[in-house]
Amino acid sequence: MAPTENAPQISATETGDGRRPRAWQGYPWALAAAATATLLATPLAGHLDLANIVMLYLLAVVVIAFRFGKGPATAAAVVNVAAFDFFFVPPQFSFAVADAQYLLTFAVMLAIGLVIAHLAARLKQEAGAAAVREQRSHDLYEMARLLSGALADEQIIDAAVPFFARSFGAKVVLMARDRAGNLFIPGDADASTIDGIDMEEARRVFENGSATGTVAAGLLHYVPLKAPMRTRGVLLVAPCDAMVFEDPDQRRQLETVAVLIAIALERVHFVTVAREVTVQMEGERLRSGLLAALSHDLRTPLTAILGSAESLQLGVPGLTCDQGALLDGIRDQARRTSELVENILDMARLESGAVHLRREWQSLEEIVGSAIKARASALAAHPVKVALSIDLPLVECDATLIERVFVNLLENAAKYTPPGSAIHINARIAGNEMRIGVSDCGTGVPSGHELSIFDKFVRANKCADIPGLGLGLAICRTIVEAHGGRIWVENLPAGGADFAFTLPRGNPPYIELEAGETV
Amino acid sequence: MSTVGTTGIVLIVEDEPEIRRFVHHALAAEGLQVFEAATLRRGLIEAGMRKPDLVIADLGLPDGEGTDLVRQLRTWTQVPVLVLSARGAEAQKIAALDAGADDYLTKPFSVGEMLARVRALMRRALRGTGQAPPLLTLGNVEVDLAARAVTKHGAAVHLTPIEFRLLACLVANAGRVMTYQQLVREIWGPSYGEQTHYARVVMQHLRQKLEDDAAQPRFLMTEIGVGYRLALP
Repeated sequence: MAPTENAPQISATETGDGRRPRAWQGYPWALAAAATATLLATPLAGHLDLANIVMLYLLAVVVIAFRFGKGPATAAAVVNVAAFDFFFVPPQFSFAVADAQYLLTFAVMLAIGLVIAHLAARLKQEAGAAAVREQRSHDLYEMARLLSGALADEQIIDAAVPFFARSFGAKVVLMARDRAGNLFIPGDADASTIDGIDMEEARRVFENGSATGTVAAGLLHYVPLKAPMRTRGVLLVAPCDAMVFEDPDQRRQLETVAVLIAIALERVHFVTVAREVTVQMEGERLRSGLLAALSHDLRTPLTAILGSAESLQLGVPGLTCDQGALLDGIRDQARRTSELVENILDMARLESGAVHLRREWQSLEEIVGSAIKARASALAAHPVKVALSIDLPLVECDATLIERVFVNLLENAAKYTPPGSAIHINARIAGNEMRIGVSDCGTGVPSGHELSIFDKFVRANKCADIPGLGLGLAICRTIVEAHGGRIWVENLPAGGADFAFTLPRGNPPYIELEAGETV
Repeated sequence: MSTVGTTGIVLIVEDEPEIRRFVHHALAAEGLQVFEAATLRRGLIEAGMRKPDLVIADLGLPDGEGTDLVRQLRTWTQVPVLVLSARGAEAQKIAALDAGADDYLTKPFSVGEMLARVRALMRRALRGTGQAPPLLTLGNVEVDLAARAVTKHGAAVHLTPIEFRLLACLVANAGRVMTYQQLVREIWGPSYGEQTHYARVVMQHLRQKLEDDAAQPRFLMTEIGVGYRLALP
């Protein structure tokens, strides 16, 4: 029903005529107007000058022009001249003219009548056009208002469908761009409201939208939705009247509303992105806050347990052997728990994304020495042989994290090899990497497990009496890879495992220590 | 059992009572007089009142950072400060040392280790800060600062001027942790402040010359990520 309601307004601007269904009615009215004017003037003929009677006829022309448009007004102008001539100009009741000056009157009267007809019709036409334009602007404004409040794609569609029905008499389907760059129909709408959709065409318009503009295929119009950042989708418009988009004003309206919809889609997209980023940031903030609180709350009691046990041992004279042994036990367990907690917290911190490397040019020998000292008690039964050449260059890395790698590798070696067996640490430059190896004389890594032992919670030897969670090597891998290196394990032919990792060699700085002495 | 002298006064500024308790116990067993404070404000008041010979301060206090405590103490006293810190907080430790702290312990720490550091710092305080002993024995190495001579197993060891300066700096601050930045600033000058690898290279040479096993030093100790410390036997 909507199209027929609109048609009168559309036709008014397109054809410039009076309302089509009533256009023919104007002519009888023109005659009637002429008759009315004549009737009115007749009683006044004796008192009024002929010039004033002309005014009456001109008035009739104005009324007809205003009401019925150009055609009837022109007819009225002609009929009025004829009527004036016939009824009022001597000799009355004939078309002959006694005085030639009246020919001038007829000519001017006709001319004025035609001009009035033309102008009045134009005025009416412009008023009509202005009304239509105002309606269009009003619709567009309403649409823009609704779109500015849209926070989801579905709301955009809910605003668009009635607008298109009202303004163009068309059905519309919105296809939007998803994260992967494909077209989809948002919400629970489907494309069945429009027949004959060519998905290929839609995709083509979507991808080349900026070049082709709106593509019309039969009755269906594919309108690309171009937003400032990128094309946000395609509108499928199916008007009931195929001619509706022949009007340039309607085309412009379509393009304007397409831009509005595209911008709204883009805004909704960025609202979603901003929301997700906020949630992510909140999550990270919570997580690091939780980690910090957890670290503190786990470390404090462990510190207290360890310290109190040790304090008893050192400070209380006359402890029996048994009591001393019990305290030793408390200390060992506290230390072991502490190491487990450190592993878990380290893994959590490394995993939560922000592995912040404090890279400086470090001496590998120094880091190795620090690691050995840190695990001196665990390494008591395992002599460590360090073979690093004197001119091994500095390597750029985070000392604390690489120390951790060595600590974990040394701990592993100590745990899984028989007491008394040695652990060897060596390093050499190989190409643009420094290759570092920590090898032992144990039983090696079970074949087939060389890759999986670097996974979290994987333990090669599932003995219950060897403590550990299986996180040590996973932490090593995360740290080494964060430095841009690789870590792996090889079984040595003579027995035992060689855990090797690489660090990028980089460009060690040129150091001038003092006059004449350079490194 | 006291090795430090019965008049030693120690102030502990730590908010966790369990940690205060065992530290107090261990120090008291050494014959030291111990006072406690649980907040930064209280710590400053006690430091002013008790005039301790050593302050042990936790870096995470409820009403402020331990670094602030160190900074404020340093405005009116040179009392040695040992800070207690958490693992992984290198920046915090360096900030505390730069503010004037002398050494740090990472929780959880061994009481034996703590007592060793306490002894070293209190010996330093007794000696008078900044004054290096003229003759120092480190294992089988003897250092004579006045004569600028170093011997190992009795045989003379040649050190370059830079190496000697690093050694002298560590000896003068024996028992304290010197951050890499502090060492580089003192030996090469303030403009070299961030080029900490200079210190590492020289230390490597020093260790090669003086330690039995450069990779496992006994007195030229590394505090990883922070700096160096000369450990007196």
